[in-house]
Amino acid sequence: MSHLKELEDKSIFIIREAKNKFKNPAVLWSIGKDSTMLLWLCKKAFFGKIPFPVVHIDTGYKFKEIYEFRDNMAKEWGLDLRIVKNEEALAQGMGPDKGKFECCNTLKTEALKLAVKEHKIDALLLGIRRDEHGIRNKERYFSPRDKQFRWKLARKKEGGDSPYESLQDTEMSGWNLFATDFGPEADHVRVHPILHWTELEVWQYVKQENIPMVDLYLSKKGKRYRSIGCECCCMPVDSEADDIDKVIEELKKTTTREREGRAQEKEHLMQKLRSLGYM
Amino acid sequence: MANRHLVWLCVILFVSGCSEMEEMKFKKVLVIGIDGMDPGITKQLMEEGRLPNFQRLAENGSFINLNTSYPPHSPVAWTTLATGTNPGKHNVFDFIRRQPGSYLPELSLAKSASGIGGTNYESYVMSDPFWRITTKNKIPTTVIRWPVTFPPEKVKGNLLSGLGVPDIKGFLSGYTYYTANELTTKDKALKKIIKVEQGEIIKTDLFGPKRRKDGEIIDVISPMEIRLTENSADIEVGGKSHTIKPGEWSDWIRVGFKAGFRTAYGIFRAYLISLEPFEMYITTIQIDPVNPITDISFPDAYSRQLVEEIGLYYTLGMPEETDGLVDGKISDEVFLQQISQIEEERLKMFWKEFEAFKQREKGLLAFVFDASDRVQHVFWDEKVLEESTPGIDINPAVEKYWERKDEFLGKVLDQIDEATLLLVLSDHGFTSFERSVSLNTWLVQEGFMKAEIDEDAIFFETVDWSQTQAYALGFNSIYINQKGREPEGIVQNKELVIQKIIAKLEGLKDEKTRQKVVNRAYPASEVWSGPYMKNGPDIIVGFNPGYRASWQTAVGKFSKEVIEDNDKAWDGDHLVDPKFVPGVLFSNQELKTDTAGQTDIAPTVLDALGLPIPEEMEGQSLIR
Repeated sequence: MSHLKELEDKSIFIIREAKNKFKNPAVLWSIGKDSTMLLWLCKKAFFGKIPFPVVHIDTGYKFKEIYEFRDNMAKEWGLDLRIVKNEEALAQGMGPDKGKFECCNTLKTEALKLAVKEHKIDALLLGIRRDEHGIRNKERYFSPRDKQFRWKLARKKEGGDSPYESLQDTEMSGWNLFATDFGPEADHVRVHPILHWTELEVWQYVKQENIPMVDLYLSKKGKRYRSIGCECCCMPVDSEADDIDKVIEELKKTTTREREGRAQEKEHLMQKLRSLGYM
Repeated sequence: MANRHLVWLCVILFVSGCSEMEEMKFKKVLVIGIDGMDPGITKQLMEEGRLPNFQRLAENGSFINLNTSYPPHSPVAWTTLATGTNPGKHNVFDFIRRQPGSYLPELSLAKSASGIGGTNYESYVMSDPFWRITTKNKIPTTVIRWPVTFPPEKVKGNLLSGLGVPDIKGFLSGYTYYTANELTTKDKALKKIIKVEQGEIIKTDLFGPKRRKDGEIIDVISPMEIRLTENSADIEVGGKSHTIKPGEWSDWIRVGFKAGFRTAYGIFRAYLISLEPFEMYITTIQIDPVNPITDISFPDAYSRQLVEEIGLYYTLGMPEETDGLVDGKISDEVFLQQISQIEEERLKMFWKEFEAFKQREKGLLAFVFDASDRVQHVFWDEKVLEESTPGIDINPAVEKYWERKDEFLGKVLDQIDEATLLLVLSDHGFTSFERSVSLNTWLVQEGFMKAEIDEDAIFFETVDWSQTQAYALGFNSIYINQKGREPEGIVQNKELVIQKIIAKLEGLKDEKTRQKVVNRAYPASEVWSGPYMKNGPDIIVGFNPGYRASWQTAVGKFSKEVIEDNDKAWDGDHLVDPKFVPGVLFSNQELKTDTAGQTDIAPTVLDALGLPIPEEMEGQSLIR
């Protein structure tokens, strides 16, 4: 079995598991490459038609290319698209000039809370990946959240040597065993079907499956976006990659460089320590 | 009525008695620190009549042993001397500390607050040095090159930082050696050997600060051109040319490294070994005191003012080029020439500040010399594990150093008045370093650590923490892999493991010499106390003379054998049981004791100046 096929199989297993174990699952679509690939996988898991709602949190500040792409794809793939906007905050003038954190929190997190409540979502599928950020290393495929959207790691229990029991024991993913029942304290469960993919693998799969993508990812005048979201908060990177093959080549180089970078960092620390004469 | 008079009389007598005690106080204090001055060598040279001025000071005042810190490392000891507190309170435990919440080692001289090539530093020292207290009390205070005073702090006077000041790269040292010879395998393993092409013009680079570019750590470089003539070389850097002949040191050469919008200025000296094949050694590139990338003095302009008065000078914390000597890139003679340069500069600094001190009514001058320590590290002739003849074999280089210091002391003694308390002291003594002990390999052998012994692995890469009870980092420090403290800690009953390790360590024998390796191993709680104990190790290993922890131990690496011969030119050391390496204390006053500890020094300084001794300080005034 090819490497990409293995990744795909695992993701599809998790997507089907989520559909089976929960009453009202939904998938979050930011229109970026990861969540667009996730939609593709959902389509594949259920033979062409996604059997649950697709939620898009609209901050009102997205690239115009994103809106166009969203509407075209929704039609083409026959999505049950639910657009959620924190209209109240937008009406009061919330925007990036009020502070990036404040803006993101109000227009994304608060809007998502509204969506979860309004659509009674009990499982939310998200396209996050472990290699995005250090903090995501610890994420699980099925991850419970409480009402404040905090990662719910433990719940109170009676008896035993500890008043808490962990909700996040190591998942036996090699055995396809995932805990999906987190009790009444979990407001909803986050499901991360593509947690194990890397950025490079995503692009390799996009290429293999010919998945449509917003062209912001491709180089124009020497710049391209590696991730997209709100227009005001995204910075393009220097790149000559104007098609997907070139994006893949570029990423192959940078990932080795990042890995070499980590080894180098250790070497740097060792050199520094050994600059003490006693060594 | 008569009774009443009597009461008043008593009160008057009592009060005048008190004021008399106050008046006994000195107006000024001069502390001269000499790193690594050993009582054994000092006594021997005094008996031979070679240190007449130290002799004079001992006879007219006092000379006693000054017990050193646990462990006897310069940063630990000088911090204890300055603060009157133990490591549990002042937070400096070893040359190397472990980064909290990890098993990674880091230098404990100053905390670099912003990673690679960073210029923001913080001090680890958590208690008040005596100069902070004199400053608070508005007493003119000048501190020059006291170790662990980087970054510089505010004093009521001048402060020039000592041990801890980094080089232009943010390292503690690093020579560069340029050669037209083919590089040997050994060269390739050394720190910075640059191959150049022989020719009339040699084009090469100087290596400056590190910076990150596209995820990679790179050297910022600055070009250097060397034009060879028949009997000299012109070194061109930054548009200026400096001519040197083979067998000569250049004067200071300034170089700018452009990193982003900033230029980092450094200074160095070059030593031309030969023209053909071309071989040239350059010292560690030091922070330029005229335009420092990070402050090295208080006020910040002081480092520049000094240049105006005495010329450029070595600014690095440990500027002596011991690495070049140990690696065989410079000869003994060339190394000693460099030591003389450093000493000369330091003496100029001393006399400048001493002149100002002499003019003052009240004041404190604390001044540290430390080339003494480095000379002894690399010119130690005694072999304690082999010889049993009485007396210490003193290398001529060491002898000469102390004779020069004696001349210097003579000039000081001729100029100080009775209102000045003089303390001449050292942080520790010295012994030989013949056998190198890899504590991590030993921990594996004894079953306290589970790891694959791989000599190439760094930072405990091959350790299975789930089956490891303890690990060694630094030169005398063992840490318990404690549950809740270490990232993958497993030990719940720490005391029990500490006792087991100590019993085993104290029983460790060297098969080659048939001697005991460790005199005593101390649980931290026996020798330290205070709020920062949690940052320090759990066991302090007190080696017998002749033994020292291997450098691999210090950084979380392994050697194949537990004990190996030390075949490096770094043959003297002091990282043993503190009992074997006390320092010295000379004073122009008769001290009321024949033994003193480092925590007594700060209280003595403050008491002499009529200041109350803070409760935090553990020692006592030695002039009471």
